Amino acid sequence: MAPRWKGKTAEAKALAEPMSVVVSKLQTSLIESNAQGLLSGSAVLLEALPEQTELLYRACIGRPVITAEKDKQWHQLSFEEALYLCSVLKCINVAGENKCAKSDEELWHYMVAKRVGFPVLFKAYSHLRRKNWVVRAGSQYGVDYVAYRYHPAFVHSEYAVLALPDEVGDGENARLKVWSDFHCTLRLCGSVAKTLLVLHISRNGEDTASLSRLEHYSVEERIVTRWNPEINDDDDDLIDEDNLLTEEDLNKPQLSLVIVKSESQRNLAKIAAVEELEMRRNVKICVWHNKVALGFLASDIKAGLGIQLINFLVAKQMKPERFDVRLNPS
Amino acid sequence: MMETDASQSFRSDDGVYDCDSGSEGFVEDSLDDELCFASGDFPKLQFRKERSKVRWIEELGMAEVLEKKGKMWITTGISRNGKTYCSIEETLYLAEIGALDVLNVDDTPLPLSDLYAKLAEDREKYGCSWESFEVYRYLKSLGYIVGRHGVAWSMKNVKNKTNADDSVGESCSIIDKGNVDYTFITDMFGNMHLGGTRPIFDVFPPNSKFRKSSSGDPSFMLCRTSGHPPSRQEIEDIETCCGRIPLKLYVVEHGRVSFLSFTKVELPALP
Repeated sequence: MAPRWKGKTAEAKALAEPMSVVVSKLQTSLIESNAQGLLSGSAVLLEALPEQTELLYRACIGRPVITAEKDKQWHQLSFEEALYLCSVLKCINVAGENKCAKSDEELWHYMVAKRVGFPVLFKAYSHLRRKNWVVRAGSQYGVDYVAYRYHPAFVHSEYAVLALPDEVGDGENARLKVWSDFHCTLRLCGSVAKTLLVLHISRNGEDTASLSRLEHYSVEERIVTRWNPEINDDDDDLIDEDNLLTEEDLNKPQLSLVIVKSESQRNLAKIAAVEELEMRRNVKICVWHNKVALGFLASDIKAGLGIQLINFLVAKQMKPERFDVRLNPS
Repeated sequence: MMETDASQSFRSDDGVYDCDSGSEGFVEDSLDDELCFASGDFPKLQFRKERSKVRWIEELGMAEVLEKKGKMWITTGISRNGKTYCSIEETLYLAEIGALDVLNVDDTPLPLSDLYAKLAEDREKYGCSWESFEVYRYLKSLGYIVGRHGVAWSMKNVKNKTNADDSVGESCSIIDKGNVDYTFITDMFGNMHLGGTRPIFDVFPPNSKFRKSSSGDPSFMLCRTSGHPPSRQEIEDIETCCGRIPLKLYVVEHGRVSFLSFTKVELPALP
C-alpha cells in the first residue's frame, strides 16, 4: 500500500524538513536547557520551553498537558518516549519521587517492573524511531503501535505494528497465536487501510536485567497480508483498446455490445472505469473471465440474451478475447 | 405475503451487514452463496457433453488418462512417457464438474462417493486432504493453474526447473502396464515429512498460453497449515526449502478459504 499523504503538498513539506532534522533540533534544545522529566506512575512529565513544545509537537513525541500555567507547557511522555529521549537521544534526565535523576538502568528497571513485556515493546519502538518513523500508540487499532512515514498531520499511518517476542514469557504479548486473531487483526487493518507489520524480536539468549543487553536483541520485520485470488493485481489490461468500438462504429445509431477479455476476476476499481467509458461511448460491455461472463453492465440488455450469446460463442469455440460483437437489440 | 416480505427484508439486511467488508484487500464476503442457501436455489453446474475418461490406479494414487476431451488437459495432469496422470484433486475436480468418467481397473465406474472417500483416508494417503481439495477447487474455478508442489508437469526440459527442493529425478519411468515402475509417485509425497505446515501446491496465474513442457516458475507456493498459525521458525524453514519462490499459506475454516502471506521486509530508514 502506497503512503497516503494528506494533501498534494504534504510529501514535499515532509521532504523539506525530514524527521531526523526535527528530532535532532529537539535533542539539541533539550540538552541546552538541561531538561528533566518527572516519573509519575506510568508516565513521565516534562516541562518544556515554547520552542521545545513546538519541536515535541513536530516530532510527535508526548502529548501536551493542559494547565492554567501561562509560560510553562507540560508534556506527558509514555515510557517508550521517555526512555528513548533519555537513553538513546540522551537529551533528558528523568527524576523519581526524591527529585534525584535516575540512571538509565534504574529507569529501565522501574519500567520493566511496571509494564509487562516492556523490553520487547521498547525494542520495537526504538527500532522504528531510529529509522525516523513516527511511532504512536496503537491501542485504537488493537495493535501495539502505529507507524507513520512523517508527522500524522501530513500522512496517514502506514503500518499497524505488533511486537512479538520469539519466546513468549509470562503475560507477554501472545498475539497471533490463533487463526481467529489473524482474521480479526487483518480485517481491522484492511478496513483502516493499514498494513500489518509484525516485528519478531529475538532476545538471542539475553535477559531483560539490563538495558545494555537490548542492543543484542534482533528484530525481523514481516508484513502479513491477506491475498484475494479474485483480484489479480497483475491484470492491468482489463480494457483492451483494440477490442473497443472505433469512431466509425460509434457513429452508427445502434446499441453495441463489446466483449472485454479479462484473465482475472473483476476488480471494482476497473469496473468503475469501464462504467465511465460505457457512459461516454454508449456501448455495452461484458467482462470475460475464463469463458464466463462476469456481468453486463448495461441494464437494458437482458441477461438471458447475454448468456445466449456467450453460449453461442463458447459452442463455436471462438476465443472471447478476439471478440468485438455488435448487437442490435431489437 | 407478510412472511415473504419479512424474509426478504431479513435477507437484504444480511446483505447490508456483509457488504461493509467490501473494502479492498479482503475477499468479498460470499454474499452470493449465502443468498443461494437462503433461497434454497443451489447453483448447478452446466451439463457437459464431452467427458474425458480416466482409470484410477490405486497403487499409484493417481488416475491414468484414457481419453482426453476439452482444453482442460493443457493445465491438468502430469505427463510421463507419453501418458497423462492426474492426481486425486484433479480427478475429483473434473469428476465434480461432470467433465470426467472415472473407471476402476476392471473398467467399472468409480463413483464420486468413492473419490470423496479417498480424501478422507488416513494421513492423507494421496497427499491431499478435503481442505486442500477445497483450495484447489477454489483456485481452479478462478482460472489459476494449480499443480502439486515440486512435481514437474512434464519430464521434458525438467533440467530447467530451478526449485530448490525439486526432487523429481531423472530416474522416473513408467514401463508397460503389468510391469509398472511408479517411482515418480513417491516424489509426490516426498515432502510430507515436513509436518503440519508444508507446501502442497504450486500456483501459476491464469494463462491461456500455458504449456506443461515450459511452465516456468510458479507465481507462488501454497502451504497447508495445521490448526495453529505457524511460528516464525516454521515459516523460515519453509522459506528455506522454497528458495526464491514466494510463499502463501491457506487456512480453511467452515469451507471458507483464506490466503495469507508473510513477507520479510526491511522498512526504509527515512530521512
